[in-house]
Amino acid sequence: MVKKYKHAVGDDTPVTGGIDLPPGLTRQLPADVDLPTDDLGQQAYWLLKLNADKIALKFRQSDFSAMDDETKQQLIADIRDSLGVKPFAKAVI
Amino acid sequence: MITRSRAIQIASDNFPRGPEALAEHLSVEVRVSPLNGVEGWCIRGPTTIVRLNQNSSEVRRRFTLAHELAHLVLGTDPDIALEPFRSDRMEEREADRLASEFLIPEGELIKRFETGTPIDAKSLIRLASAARVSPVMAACRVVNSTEMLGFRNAAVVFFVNHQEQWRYSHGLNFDTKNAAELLVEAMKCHPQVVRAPNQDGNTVVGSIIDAQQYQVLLIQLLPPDEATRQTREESLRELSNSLFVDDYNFRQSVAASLGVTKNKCEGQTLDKAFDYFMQTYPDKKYTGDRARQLKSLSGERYVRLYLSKWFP
Repeated sequence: MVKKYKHAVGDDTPVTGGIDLPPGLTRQLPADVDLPTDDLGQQAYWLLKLNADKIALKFRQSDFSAMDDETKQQLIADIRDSLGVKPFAKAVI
Repeated sequence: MITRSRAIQIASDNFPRGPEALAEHLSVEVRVSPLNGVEGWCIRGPTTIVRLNQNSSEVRRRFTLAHELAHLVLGTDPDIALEPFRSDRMEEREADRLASEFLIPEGELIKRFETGTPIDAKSLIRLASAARVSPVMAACRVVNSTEMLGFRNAAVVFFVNHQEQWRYSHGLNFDTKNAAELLVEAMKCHPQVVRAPNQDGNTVVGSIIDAQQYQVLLIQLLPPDEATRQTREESLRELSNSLFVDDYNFRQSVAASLGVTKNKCEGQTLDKAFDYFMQTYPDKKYTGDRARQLKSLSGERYVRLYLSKWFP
């Protein structure tokens, strides 16, 4: 949409050319993403994050923090199995 | 992947193991193991995996499975499963609703409950037992089917130590009594239902499932003429009183014969079981007044109604 550009003091994104930017470019991203702090939590988080196009599982930090380590390990194993990622084989000497 | 109606059909065809059959149809791998802090999860990916908590009861595990399958069918994101029927999120509510249809198909409700007749706790517990679900789940399924069952509306109210914890409804307005007062009255009438007029001209019918750890109140809103219809238990009690009067031995003996009929006719229809009973017992086991009473119209009605608990 063409409009006459008016820059006001306090505008976070100055726009030139007289057009609106898509909301995705002007929206401020939250900086307070609640990432898991423990190793297992981070493993699960990155497995999901890096394979977001292949698998779906809603991930809430509060859900994860209620699990014990054994349960977290089962979740990670299930994510790997779902993706078809095989665990490392034991070294044979 | 699969349409909603097709998924419901598969679950219905395989009752009472609808969710399990649906999981097989969708090639979902179901894994069960002890979990802590969570009821299970569903990971939708190249291989879709549902994990269930072995420490939970069978009815709970089956609900979790049905809920996750509902997410897959609806195309909404599967999640880490928590308490059923407690979420205020639309996606979760819709998944709970569809899960209840997988567990208790519409046909089972129609078969067991006459349209526009109040549902009592015993009938609800029998449905839950046949469907291998919890009575709470069965009550929530009834709430989801108010229109089909001929109710104006319905609600489930869950109490722990007589304190209301949560309620599940599609906006029930019952103004005559609050839920806690209705609970007290329903406990007095238990196992029969309690009836109370509502300000809008309808009648509130309350039925209670009293477990040790909790109480569940099923509230049904019906037009007055339908609310006063006898429930199955009320009919059975009335027929029993007129048939046996004070003859305790006769009552016990007929109950035992009905029990044998249940085992002998397992897997058959109500008509077959009824015929078996009438051909086997009234003339051969009983004589005189007892045989005549059992073969009378009310005697036959009693036998049929009693057997319908097991042969819906």
